Amino acid sequence: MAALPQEVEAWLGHVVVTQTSGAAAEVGAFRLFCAAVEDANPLYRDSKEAHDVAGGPICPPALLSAWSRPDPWEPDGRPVSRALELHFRLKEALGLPKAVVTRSETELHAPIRPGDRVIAQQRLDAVSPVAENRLGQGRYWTISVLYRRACDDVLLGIETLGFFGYGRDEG
Amino acid sequence: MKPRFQQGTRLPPHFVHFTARHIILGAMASRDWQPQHHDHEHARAANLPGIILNTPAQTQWFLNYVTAWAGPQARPARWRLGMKSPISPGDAVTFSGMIESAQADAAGHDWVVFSLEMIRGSRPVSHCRLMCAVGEGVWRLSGADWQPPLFDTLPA
Repeated sequence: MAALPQEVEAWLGHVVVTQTSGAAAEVGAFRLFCAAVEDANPLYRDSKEAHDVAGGPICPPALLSAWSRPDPWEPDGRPVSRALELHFRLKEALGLPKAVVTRSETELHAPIRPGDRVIAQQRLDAVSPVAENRLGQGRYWTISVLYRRACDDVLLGIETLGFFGYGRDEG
Repeated sequence: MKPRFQQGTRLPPHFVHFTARHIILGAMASRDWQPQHHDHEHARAANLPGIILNTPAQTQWFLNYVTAWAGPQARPARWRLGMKSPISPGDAVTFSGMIESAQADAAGHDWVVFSLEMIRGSRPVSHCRLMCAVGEGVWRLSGADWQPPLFDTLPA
């Protein structure tokens, strides 16, 4: 059985990558996303119901991962960073250029509110031994992303993603 | 304490005809710039049927389906999403769902687990298991007072 590369062994159980939000959460962005999915929930708007029920407008929960995603272009020409950077580093370290998501689970804590900036801490939870399925030989791995409010470190949610990486170039 | 929601209750079906606008706007509004969500030629070259609905938009469609029925007092706590087949412009999808379990806690809030599906034709294309807390004041719970149970700790 092929051993894990040393650097991957060292990553196991640790936060390896921390990404800070490029964008602050804001009500206009909530509205646009609600328009995309035709969601009339008044809590996502600056409405009386939002203040009565939730103490003010909240971000649609499925946008948890949105705020730490890098912009697609930087004005000073800097290279754009990759969303879920740890996943790409792992693919490179294991020599597995292709990967598919096999499962995803999200647990929500404090709601994101207008003005919040979000930090995403990417932790490597597990890497399987070499396995084989219909896509070929590869490995399964699990990454958890802990989303925290930048100003006070409050936990906003945890996303756990399972992947299968494959397609090793044997040439 | 007896929960106000009944296990086995079925949600009314909801029909959506997905367009390119749904797919592209859903991706852009969730800051997802990956080309398979906005570039038709790129998606076709990757053996996809066309541009595909991204994960955050798909998730919020499920959350929307439940909160439109249960009301804004339903606070999503946990979900598990299983995507079986991509959703592209032109797809006609029916949402269906039922209450898998419901349990009241000591504070009088209900923890409700929904089993939800998107169905195209007769084929399920996506499944979501969604847990919500429902009741007065659930949105104001925080810290130690907000502890979503694991899926498997609630009775089915």
